[in-house]
Amino acid sequence: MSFFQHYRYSQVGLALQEVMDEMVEADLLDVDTQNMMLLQFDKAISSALSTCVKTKASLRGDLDHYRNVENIWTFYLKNAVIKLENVEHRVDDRLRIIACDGRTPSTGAGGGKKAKK
Amino acid sequence: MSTLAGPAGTAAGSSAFPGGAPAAAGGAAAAATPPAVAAAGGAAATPAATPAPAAGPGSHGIVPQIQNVVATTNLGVALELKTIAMQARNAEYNPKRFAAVVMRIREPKTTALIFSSGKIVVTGAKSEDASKLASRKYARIIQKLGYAGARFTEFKVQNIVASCDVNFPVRLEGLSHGHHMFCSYEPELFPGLIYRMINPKIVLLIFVSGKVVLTGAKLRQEIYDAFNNIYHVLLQFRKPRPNAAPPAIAAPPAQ
Repeated sequence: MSFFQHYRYSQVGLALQEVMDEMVEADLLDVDTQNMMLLQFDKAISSALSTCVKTKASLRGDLDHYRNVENIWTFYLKNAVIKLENVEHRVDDRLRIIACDGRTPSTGAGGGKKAKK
Repeated sequence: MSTLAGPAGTAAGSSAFPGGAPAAAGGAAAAATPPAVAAAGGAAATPAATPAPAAGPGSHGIVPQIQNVVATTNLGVALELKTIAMQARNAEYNPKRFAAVVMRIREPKTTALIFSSGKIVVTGAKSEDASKLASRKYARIIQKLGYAGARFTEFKVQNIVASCDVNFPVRLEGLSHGHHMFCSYEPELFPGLIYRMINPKIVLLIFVSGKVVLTGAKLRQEIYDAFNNIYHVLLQFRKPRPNAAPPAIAAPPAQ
């Protein structure tokens, strides 16, 4: 039961970690529980993104370069435009896309995509 | 040779065919006439005959276009492929599927397979020079990734693929009978005829449309020689165009 951990570095993942760190400092939470919750978060966000999100997004850009190491793809795009519900977001910097296999070997769930400036 | 004589008799309107057979035999290095002589004999019939049918384009004026060059290089150092894949751009490495880094560059547009032994296979170049330049570029990329000892050695072109169009349809069935010792034609398996020329040692794929693919060459000249040889053979197995037939039928009443 292993999931990719890259969603921990999304906005919601970082916020969760911040709150949990504060709680650990205040002795409201022990570290083992925190780790357990993070593993649960990896699983939950994977299934949430695949089942609950109905928004259609599209992405355009010029591929600057790519990389694929052990089935994890990284794409670097120039002049990228992300379209979310017909609202365009232009990325001035290079857009980096990390894409991993949607089906992890053990579970068949999880994985996905993450974009980062 | 008895099977060769059979189709020769049945080859409709191909009185030149018996002359074509020795040319093929010359290609097999079995007969005394070398293929160049046979080609020159064929070229003499055309007004544009020049004394060098083996050099570049023959009297037909068709030059096979080189489509792919495969070359190998040895950098002489062992490589840590995973670190290369993580640092280099346009690299793919999936050791579970293939034990080499696949790397691409845009100019010359090529793909390289980089092995941990330090050997590199470069494919996709459109000429020998482009292949060499690309191989140098890959060697340079590896050098820049911290392998100062990597040197550009043992560059060798392993295969050249070319293609061209003779601009007339070909009777593959007749060709496969007439030159059965060189041909493999199984239209149910593959629509092209596979012609294994002995001298130069080139494999040709010949299609009904008149399109020809030549492969197996280490030198560009082998491609040109093979095409000059096959062109004169293909002329003898030219298929009349469907749209050329009506005027031929219409002609007798006019006379």
